[in-house]
Amino acid sequence: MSDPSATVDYPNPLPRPPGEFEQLQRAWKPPTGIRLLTRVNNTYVGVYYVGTSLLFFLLAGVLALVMRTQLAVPENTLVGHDLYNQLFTMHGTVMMFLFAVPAVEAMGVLILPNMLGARDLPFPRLSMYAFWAYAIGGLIFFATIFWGLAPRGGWFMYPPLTSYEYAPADNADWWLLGIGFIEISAIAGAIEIVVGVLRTRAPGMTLGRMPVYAWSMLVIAGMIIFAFPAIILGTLLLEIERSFQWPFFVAAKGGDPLLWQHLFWFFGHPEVYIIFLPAAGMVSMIIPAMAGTPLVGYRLVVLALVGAGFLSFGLWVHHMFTTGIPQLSLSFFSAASMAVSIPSGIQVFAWIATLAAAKRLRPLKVPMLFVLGFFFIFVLGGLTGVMVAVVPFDWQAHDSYFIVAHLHYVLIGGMVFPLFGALYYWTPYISRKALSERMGQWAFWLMFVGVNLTFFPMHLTGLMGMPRRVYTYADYPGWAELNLLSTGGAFLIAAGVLVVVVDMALHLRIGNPNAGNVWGAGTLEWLPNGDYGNRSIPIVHSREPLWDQPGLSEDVKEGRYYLPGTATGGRETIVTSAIDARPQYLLQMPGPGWSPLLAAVGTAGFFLLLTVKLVLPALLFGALALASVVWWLWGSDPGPSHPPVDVGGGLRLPVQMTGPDSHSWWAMVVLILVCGSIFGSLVFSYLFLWTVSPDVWPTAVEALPGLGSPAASAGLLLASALGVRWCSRRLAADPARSAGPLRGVLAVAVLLLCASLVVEVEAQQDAGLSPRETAYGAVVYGLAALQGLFVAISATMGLYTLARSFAGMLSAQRRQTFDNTRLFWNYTVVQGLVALALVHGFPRLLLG
Amino acid sequence: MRLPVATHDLLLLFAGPMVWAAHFVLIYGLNGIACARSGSAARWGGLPWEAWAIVAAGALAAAVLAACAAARPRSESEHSRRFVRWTSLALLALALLAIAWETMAVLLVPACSGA
Repeated sequence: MSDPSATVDYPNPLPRPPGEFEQLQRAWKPPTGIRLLTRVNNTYVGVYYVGTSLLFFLLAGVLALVMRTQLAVPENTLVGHDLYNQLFTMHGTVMMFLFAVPAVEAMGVLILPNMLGARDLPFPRLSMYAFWAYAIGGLIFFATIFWGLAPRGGWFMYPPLTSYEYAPADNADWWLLGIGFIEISAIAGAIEIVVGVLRTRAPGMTLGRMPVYAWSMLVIAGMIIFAFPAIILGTLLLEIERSFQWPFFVAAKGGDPLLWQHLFWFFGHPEVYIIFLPAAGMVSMIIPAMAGTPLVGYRLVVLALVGAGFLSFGLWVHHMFTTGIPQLSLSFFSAASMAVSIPSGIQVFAWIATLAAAKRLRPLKVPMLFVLGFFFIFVLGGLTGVMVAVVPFDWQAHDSYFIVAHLHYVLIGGMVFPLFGALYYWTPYISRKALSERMGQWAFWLMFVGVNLTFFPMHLTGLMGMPRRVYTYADYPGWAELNLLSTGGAFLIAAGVLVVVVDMALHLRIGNPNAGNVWGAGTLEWLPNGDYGNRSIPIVHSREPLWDQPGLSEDVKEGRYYLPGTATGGRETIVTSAIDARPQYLLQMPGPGWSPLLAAVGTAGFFLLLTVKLVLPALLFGALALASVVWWLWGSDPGPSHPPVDVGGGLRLPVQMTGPDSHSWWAMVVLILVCGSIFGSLVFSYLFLWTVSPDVWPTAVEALPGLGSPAASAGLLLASALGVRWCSRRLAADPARSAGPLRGVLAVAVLLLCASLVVEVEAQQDAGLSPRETAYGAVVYGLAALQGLFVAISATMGLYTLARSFAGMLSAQRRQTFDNTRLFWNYTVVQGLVALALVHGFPRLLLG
Repeated sequence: MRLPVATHDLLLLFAGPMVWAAHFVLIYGLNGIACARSGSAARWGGLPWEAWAIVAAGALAAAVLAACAAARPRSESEHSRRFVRWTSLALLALALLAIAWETMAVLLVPACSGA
């Protein structure tokens, strides 16, 4: 196929046939009334998502105001220590898990499809599920503070303070189960973003022409895939320790609280970049639009985003300088910290160079003010970052208000200011009116002065020795005045945020036609759009198509480009190749539906009811979630239900696709990377616990199960994989006569997979190993439990595939479901084999 | 097995940071285990064996980076090939710098003190 960006200018002639546009509008018409809850379009889910994340920002901000009021004067009695502990824990947790990460993903859901020239992200119902799970779970989690049930262990929840001995009440469980499952939403969003960015770009938008913001979202989605599994595993282990007394973190039984710190910060430090890099991506979009000139050093900025994304994984011990880790190991992290400054510096210089090349900048608009505020505040946070990166200084400043000042400068400067700039910048893209310049200027100055007034004095209180997380303090010289200043500043920030809320209430009006390209920006989200995205999908020749392709907006709006209507009568978008963005097939997309919403309700109910030990109701909600997911998926994988369609310019595209080129295959591969990361974190835990407590590892081969049982378990795993492989070949070769044997072999494969787990668990039990007595027993059974989870999922997928076969929905051409099952199944088998090798081979290796 | 073009070029694009990540895990794990299980106190050229192992890991990673630098993008569009080539080389260079920087620490800092 020739390069569409080089040879075809206008694939479709004008005028367009009557009724074509109306049919497109009908296909994308959002439901109203109560069915408003079932909307799946990115434009709506994105707005709900951003709005909910901002609600959590406000709620967590109110908690901060209560804390600052308590600290305004010495010896204050407004808030007691127990509530104060809940306040600072909830403030940090809600800001990081329910505001920052969801906000950046929400902005991606809202903006990316239009910026890439797609009609929607490739899995609209997954976005909807992720949103509702997050919104329902998050709001219930937040409400715990009104009943004194909120967690009290700080946002990083270090054991042993949060384990069963020192925190026996349910408060910590709310954090572990509540936040743990909301992380599933983050991962669902990340899968959506990876596949969306790589596979639904407009024809001609090669990787080298992709907007920097899309690059930043691709990078952070990749980071979420590798970072979040560590905290998911950590929360699982701590919850199991609390519920069943498996001593992963109990030093007296060979566990180690530091294991939690490793798992938490392996997620926690990349997390800082997960929220900063999209903000940097937003800045890289706002500055060129305000300056009227392309971003200087595009390729270097892409390099910086990718480089910073990776290197940020080498910084997690940053947060553990005072824990007695070997000095050389600390040096690796110091060196990585210095290396990461290179890509970060590249971005800052690219922004400055773009500003220096500006064709227009004055008068400064509100988004630009927030960008400049970001420069000032973030750079100050960076400077104190250099200070705390110096290990001896960190030993002095650790756990003092100096750290509170540093992290707020970094996070508010690096994320909140760019986000507010982005809200002002992109509001005209979704709203009939832009936000007010005048109110925006008030908001900016109130927030800018407020942030500095709040947090700059905290450097000094910290250096004077005030520890963080104290609910009150004595009247030491100098402390009272500085704390009063900080409290005043906090209320100034609140006033600034209130102005933004009022501005939104007065001017944000979601609907079409939107206010349009008020900034004269060059990227595709500023094309005329509706619920369907763009009327036709443009061919892109450059990084700023609206600047370089005159008349593009009008041509797209009139339908001169690809797919000016709906080719199959429903919702659809063009899937393109990952590198060159060549059209490959037409993706039929699902419309509104109740099933993702019910699945989200079921998931939230399952986890949150488990928190309060209501097991039976929790199981009922779990069944609701499972049934809803089956209902949701049953209509997917339609197979070749439609002949190839002409999208314009003689380009005929197949409708749907199976195999490695399909979007569904890509999503499954990304999911497997997530699963591999969870398992990798558990393997790390096993080896880490061995390094700290070799004495609880077996001291004689006789203490281990004989080699017969792992060999049998491995054999069963391999046999099940071979069975599924046979089914795959049979399905491709002779689908007409294969239904009966295929069903039989698949059912046997399910049994073999389950049997492999039973053999392993029984072998450990027969060897007398208990998960409660030592960390070794806990981690061995932990590996079996994780494998059990994957076996259960694979078996469920196998049975679901069987059900589709019985329903006549499985064939050589209609096999996305089967392929997904096979991919996940093979992963489960490989994971099981590695786990067996580790559990049975490693101790034998040690014993010689 | 010949990889599909998209998989090949994406792996090439991210090869440098992936090598860096593997190297980082290797040296951190090696040093952690070496310090937890202090065995041989043998020194060679003034450095303990752990330090030489970390230097060797750095050399191995550099060799892998050099091998990656020889690979060429395979996508059809010239524009994409140039972009992927430039970006992958720049990321390989950044990875090499980070690996060299981290390896240099063995010359300056004792392996296990502080543990």
